[in-house]
Amino acid sequence: MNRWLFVAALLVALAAGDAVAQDVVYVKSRTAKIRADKSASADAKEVPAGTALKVLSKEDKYYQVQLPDGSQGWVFHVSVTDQKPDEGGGVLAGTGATSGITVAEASTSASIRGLKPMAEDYAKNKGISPKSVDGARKMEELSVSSKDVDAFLREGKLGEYAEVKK
Amino acid sequence: MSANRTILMLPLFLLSLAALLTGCESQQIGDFARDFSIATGQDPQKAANIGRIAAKTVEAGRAAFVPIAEPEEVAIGQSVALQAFERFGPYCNDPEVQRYVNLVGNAVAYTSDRPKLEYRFAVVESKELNAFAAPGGYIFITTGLLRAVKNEAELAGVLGHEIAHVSKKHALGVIQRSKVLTNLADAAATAMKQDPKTFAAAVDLVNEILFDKGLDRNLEYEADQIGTDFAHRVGYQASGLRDFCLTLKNVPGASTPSLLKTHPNPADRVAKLDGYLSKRLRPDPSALTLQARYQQGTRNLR
Repeated sequence: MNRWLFVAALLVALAAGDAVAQDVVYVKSRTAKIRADKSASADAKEVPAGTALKVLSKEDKYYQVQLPDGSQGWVFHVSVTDQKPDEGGGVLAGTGATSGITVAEASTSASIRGLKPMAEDYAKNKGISPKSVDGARKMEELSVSSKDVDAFLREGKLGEYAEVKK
Repeated sequence: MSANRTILMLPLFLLSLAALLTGCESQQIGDFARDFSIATGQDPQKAANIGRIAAKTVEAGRAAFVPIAEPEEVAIGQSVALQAFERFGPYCNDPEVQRYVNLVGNAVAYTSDRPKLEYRFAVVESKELNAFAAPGGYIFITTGLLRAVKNEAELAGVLGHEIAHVSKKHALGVIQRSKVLTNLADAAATAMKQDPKTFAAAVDLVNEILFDKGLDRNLEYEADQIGTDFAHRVGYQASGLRDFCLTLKNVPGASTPSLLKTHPNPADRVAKLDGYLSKRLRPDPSALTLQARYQQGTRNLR
């Protein structure tokens, strides 16, 4: 009998967990567009990564959401996730390890990064040719912005700009 | 017979031990040794010894895991990039194709499970068909591969596969579990940037994986599936990567020596992706291949 109670409790807990997971989603991309309507051509404002959005409904490929300031709009489903920021299933998740390599440096949010001193030293110590060092620098310098990517998606009718199937 | 049973039972036994490893007590080892002994017919004392060795092995493996923060991951990726240009060829001097590949790559990366990382894509001058990813979001693709790709959906699939390696931290995971960082695990204050030898050893390990040994083949199949998902989420035809693997199957092996050395056989990849696509992703006639845009973006390579 106890076993059945346990199974019932487990099912209730799972159902509750699922409901919570669906109530709030978080902006996954660097920014997400919150639109006035569920259409890529509707007016939009951008919200940054990690913003919590309360889900009011889901239609087609859009969530109707409420922003932290109380305003409402529609967000394309690919731009959000139900996982809280930094709670993804990466290899560090759940290890509880705090020792080892942790550097309190600024994050790599700058759009143009130079070669890090460690990589510069590596190039010197390994005798990497100037041409290859130049290649790595050029690779760093070529950065496309989220606006560029958005325009690229729009031009290709990809992502939220995909044509609605009839 | 009992030796065969021992061999069959050992993985199960190790798994059970690993699951219970948090604070594994000698009592637990004793219990497992008894069960193991009954199941396999082994001498109880011998079984207890196997248990102790197994517990120590699993514990040692756990202790060797050293987390690497993103700044160090990026520094490792940059250093691998230096070796990538050294080994495969120079950075392709065509701004148009470099920008185009970065746009397709970032479009796919935004839908990935690690969208906030700043991904960098580089086209490398090489006749060899190859693409590979270093930790930190550094992804390389050769001009030879771009010439063999037919459309943007295939390119998105190939880049999706590489992005999956980065987002799942496949190569980084190998370093984190390797012995090259064991000394650092015991000295929390020692950051890798103060220890160039350890840093170089970590980079060389990634080089060895990417250019010589390859990752575990199952991780390659996983990257095929996840990469296919990423590209499909953007709106590309889901068979892009599968179609390109079919091309790989038919090109002479001489054009793909590094890729074949480090990846599963293309025919096996096609077969696995066919199975995945038929089970998981419904055919979508409106999904795009964008062949004309691909031709335009890579026109200087022809």
